[in-house]
Amino acid sequence: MMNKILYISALGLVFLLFQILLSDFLVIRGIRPDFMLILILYISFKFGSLNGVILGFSLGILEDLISSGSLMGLSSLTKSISGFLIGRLKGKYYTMSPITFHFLWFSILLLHFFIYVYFNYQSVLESNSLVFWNTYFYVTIYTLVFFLLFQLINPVSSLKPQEK
Amino acid sequence: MRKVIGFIYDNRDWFSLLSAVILSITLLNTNDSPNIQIIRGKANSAFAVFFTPANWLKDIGALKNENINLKNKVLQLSLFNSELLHYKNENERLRNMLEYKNNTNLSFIPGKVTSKGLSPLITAMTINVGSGHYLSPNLAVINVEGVVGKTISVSSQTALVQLLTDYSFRLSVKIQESKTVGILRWRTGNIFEVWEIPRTTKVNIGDRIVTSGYSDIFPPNLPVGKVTSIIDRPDMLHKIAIGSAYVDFNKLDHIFVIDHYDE
Repeated sequence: MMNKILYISALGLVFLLFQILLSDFLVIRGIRPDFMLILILYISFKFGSLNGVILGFSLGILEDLISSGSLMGLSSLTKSISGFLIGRLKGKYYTMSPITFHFLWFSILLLHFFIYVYFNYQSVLESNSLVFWNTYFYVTIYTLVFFLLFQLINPVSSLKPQEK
Repeated sequence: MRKVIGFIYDNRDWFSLLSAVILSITLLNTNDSPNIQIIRGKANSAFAVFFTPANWLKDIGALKNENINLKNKVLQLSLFNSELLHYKNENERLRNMLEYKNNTNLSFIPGKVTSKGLSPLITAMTINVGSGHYLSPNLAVINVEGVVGKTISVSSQTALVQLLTDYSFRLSVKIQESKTVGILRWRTGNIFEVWEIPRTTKVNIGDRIVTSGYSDIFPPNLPVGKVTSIIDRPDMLHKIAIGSAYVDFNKLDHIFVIDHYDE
């Protein structure tokens, strides 16, 4: 139990530093990848909903505190929900068809970014919906590309779910 | 009681989600609270240390290109300067003849970008000057290339700057050649749109876009960008000028806050 907490906390810290140190070099059109979300996806797949929510909320709060200009509480909300939903898929890779499994986590990622972009650019959706959908598309795709790169190193299918 | 505790324990993932959602929504509702702003300001100052290595690396990486660009710019500007000096003398002479008042005087506070946060969308940044340097919200922020944004909240040693690239930012600008005023809003990447330009006004590609001065925040004639294309359809009441910004928002490091200007 203690080892698990230490393991998740250490990974959280590493990915937070990763986000701080690296993400600024990867900015394209004012958009950068969300490495912390990628970690939340992996941890939730492996350890389930409870750990997903706790990690999602903790990293989300940190992100909200440090992020200039964003809405306080938004990242903690979206990351907690994503951590919970992804955690519900823990161990399901072996019981459902791979297509359904991949479709589900992809949908959760889409939902995460939809809530995030909608809260930030609600007024833009009304005044210029093209800009809104473009931003949504680029933000989602950019993080997805990095998630797929992580998949090449450590595929989700290889994660063995840990029992409670 | 034991049954309730047992029920909560059995469904602890649902309860943790519920707690996280309630806490997050509470925080979302207290965004404008001064206490939250103070906490965020302090967190930003504390985490600025972690951003230092990344900023340092970026500075080092950009140094060579920056040096070459600056040398080119120095050459261009020194040529331009000698031409402007000539015009200045002529202008002063004519102004004296007409007894005009002096031009706009700007007073700057220099600063450095400490962080652009962690969120996937970059709409604001933190700078290393704050109320301790007599800064307040709603001050224009520029760099050597042009308008960057405006301060939106200030703590003792840092200030939060809303960038021009934020889609909710609106700026009153004018096309320098035709003196037509329009409203700028960001589109994507380095591109912005200027709305509300009368269809009868002539706008050319390459025209300079500067601040109009019809604002309490931005002094007139600060460079913003140049016109790259024009949307003018018969079904539209106004023209839309598409422009590209002079400022490279991906490479912001040193900025200046305009703390005072005289008309």
